[in-house]
Amino acid sequence: MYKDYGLTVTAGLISLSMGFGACKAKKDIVTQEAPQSANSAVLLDYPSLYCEHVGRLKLRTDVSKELNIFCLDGKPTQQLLDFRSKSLSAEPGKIDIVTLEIEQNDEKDSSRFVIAWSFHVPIRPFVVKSRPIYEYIARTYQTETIKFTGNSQKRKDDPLDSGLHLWSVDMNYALEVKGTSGITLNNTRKTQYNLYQVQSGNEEMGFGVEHLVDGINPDFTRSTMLNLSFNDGKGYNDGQGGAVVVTVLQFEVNNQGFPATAKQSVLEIAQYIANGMYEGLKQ
Amino acid sequence: MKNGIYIAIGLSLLTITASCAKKSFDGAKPAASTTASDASAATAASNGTLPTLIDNRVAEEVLCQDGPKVISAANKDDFSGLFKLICEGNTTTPLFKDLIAKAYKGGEPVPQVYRMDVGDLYITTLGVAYAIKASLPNPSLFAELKPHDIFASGIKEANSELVIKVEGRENFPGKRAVEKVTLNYDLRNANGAGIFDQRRTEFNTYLLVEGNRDITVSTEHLLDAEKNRNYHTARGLTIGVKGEEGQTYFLFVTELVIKNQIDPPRMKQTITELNRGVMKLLYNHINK
Repeated sequence: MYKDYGLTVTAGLISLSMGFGACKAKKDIVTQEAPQSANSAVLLDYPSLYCEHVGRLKLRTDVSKELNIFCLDGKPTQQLLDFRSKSLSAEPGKIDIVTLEIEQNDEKDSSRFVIAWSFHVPIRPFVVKSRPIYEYIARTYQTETIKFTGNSQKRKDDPLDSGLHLWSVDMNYALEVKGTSGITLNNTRKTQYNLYQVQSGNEEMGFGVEHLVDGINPDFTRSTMLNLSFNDGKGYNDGQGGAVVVTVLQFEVNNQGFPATAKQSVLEIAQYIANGMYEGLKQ
Repeated sequence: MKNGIYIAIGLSLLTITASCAKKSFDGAKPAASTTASDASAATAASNGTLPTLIDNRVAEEVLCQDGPKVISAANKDDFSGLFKLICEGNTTTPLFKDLIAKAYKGGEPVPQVYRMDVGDLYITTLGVAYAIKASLPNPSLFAELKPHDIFASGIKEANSELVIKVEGRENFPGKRAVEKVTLNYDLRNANGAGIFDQRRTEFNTYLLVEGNRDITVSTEHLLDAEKNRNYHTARGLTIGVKGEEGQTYFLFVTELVIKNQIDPPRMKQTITELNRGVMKLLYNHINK
């Protein structure tokens, strides 16, 4: 509780300081359809700009459940502001995986996890979007208890959906949870990752959406990841600033009656994905 | 008709195998259990009371409180009658303690036929129970020995013979089961009476406490029961509990309701012989 309050207070202060920049950016959006570069004293209010535009994107799946965590009715939630401030104040490379929701259904042997994290990198979102994020995610990860294998392939013959749709990638994952006696829990899933620019003419905001494409997957009923990236507020199309990357991951899995093990595995995978993304984007 | 007897024996065997096959899901996590000192452990085991603590609870309490709930939730069959044989409230029954105290440690095994009722039309209810003491640190390790497989070449004891083959295995089939094994029984000889009898059962092994490998329960039940010509019921429980340091106890309880097929005394003899054979095979397999 104490920690939560601490975070809230911190976030609130930063939000307050951002507020001045936000007013300026907002005004600029109205008058010029894009904010001008921020001066050194204030940070542009990218969360507001982001949430104003992200809902207008034409996506290949409905991610409103996940997106509502960060943007509601076109405005940033406190959650998004908290993750942003946390990333700006965190020690580089230190990523806290936050479990926002866990639901266990013993009757159905199912678990639902909503997990989020954020980090700040010195490269702009423009550069972030040019990086093969899918390769940072879909790799092999092995511990004593799990083996997570992923591979990715760009969809070359798939027409893009709009001018803001940048690329589309097929992802394949296999997860093996080891037992002590040679018994393993194996599952697979296929997803598609699509990357978008959030606002026309604005290089500073990107939106990555990964969704499940298996028709019927007995192990996963939902596997969605959103990557929100936006300039840290120090620049606008001028090469200035870094990127705040906020991610939310929602899994609905068949836990086979082992909810604690499923939780442990999902958290390990989330940490692995977070670390992989950070390593790929940190410079 | 005589097939019934064979089947009954087969179930007991299967039960044993299955219980041994318990695996735990937590490869990396140390089990949260402890064992009392060697001296007190020896005393406890001789009294039929197991010294293992599981998450700060006595093993018997975990078995009797959590066991019926976990097994009932899996909804495979009604095993409440078998739990009543081994549990009374939050602790184990004198039958359980007696079986543990007399757990087989080599030599000539003596399975205990604790029940034999012969009803109208020779419908016979037969209950068999025994325990084996194994040199394994915990019950999950037995799975690596693939205990079901050792019966594929046949259990031949005295004048009886039973072959059990693994038809299929499925890891983590749900409801906290770590393994489901489908078995085919082929009972070929019932105390000298050559018969042909085949049946299928399903053997499921569960962890009672997720992440703890020191106590497991396996169930076995008849598949296609309504079509089976020889059995009304065939159920088994196998309990695996860590005992003194480096030792594990496996306790098997099997209850069969056999249709009118065969002379009840011959049935009892066949089942006793085959379970004796199973005890020896398993014990030697584990401790080889």
